[in-house]
Amino acid sequence: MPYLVRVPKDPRIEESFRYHLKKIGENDEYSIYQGIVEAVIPLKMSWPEALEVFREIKVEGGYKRLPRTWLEDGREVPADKPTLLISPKRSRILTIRLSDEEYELLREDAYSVGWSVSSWARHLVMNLVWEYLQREKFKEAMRNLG
Amino acid sequence: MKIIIKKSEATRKALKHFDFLLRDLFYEVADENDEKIVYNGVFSVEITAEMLGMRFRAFKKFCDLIKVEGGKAKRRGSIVTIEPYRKRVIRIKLSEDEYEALKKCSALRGKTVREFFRGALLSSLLTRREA
Repeated sequence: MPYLVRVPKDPRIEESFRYHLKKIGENDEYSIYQGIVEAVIPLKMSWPEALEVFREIKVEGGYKRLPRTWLEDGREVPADKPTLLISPKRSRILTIRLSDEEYELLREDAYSVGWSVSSWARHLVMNLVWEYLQREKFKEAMRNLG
Repeated sequence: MKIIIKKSEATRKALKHFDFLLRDLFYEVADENDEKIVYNGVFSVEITAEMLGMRFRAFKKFCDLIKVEGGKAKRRGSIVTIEPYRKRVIRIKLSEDEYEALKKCSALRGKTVREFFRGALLSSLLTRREA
């Protein structure tokens, strides 16, 4: 199910949002956006302003978050620049078995980019999946064209 | 995971191909002498008799020379799979859309969702390591 995001009208926010989510409606005060997959949206503003905007954003069928950075030792700290993370509600749980070495490799890679282990695993695989499905869609369209 | 292979005159040529395949998957030689070679690596390996340029009987004998520490080697016909023991479990939360997309993709490849997820995860980690 797609999620809906209600954001206050502001040219800076629109500039950030329009590349990541689809706009489906607006009025004088708010704009409504729709999304299916997780969106990482850089907010081009200072931290205090970003916090105020964050409080005003409402998400239906998903979650909003100001992502943090995972350090090498596993600690979580606020990110350098304000970035908004909007993700759909995740009710499915998939368990994956890995060897110690595979896990270490994944952990090192995840912490080097400042992500948690499971989110980094999901991010890597889902990127491949979307790419693969896009390619399949393109192939099918070409086949239909003859 | 350690892969230990006994050296023999009959499998000298196949060992060369085997060495090439393992190095491609970032395996390193940890120890080597006249009797055996020890490889150290992370990823699981799937090798067919064709890849080693061997006939079935010779391949069967070659597989008997493989010993694995921290993992297992399983031969099914002319395919041998060497994989590490998987003791770690990670839980990944997915939305319905993400799960459906994953299911569709894994069906296209003829794999289960878990197998596909692990394969895709390890291959993208490998690609990142190469880069």
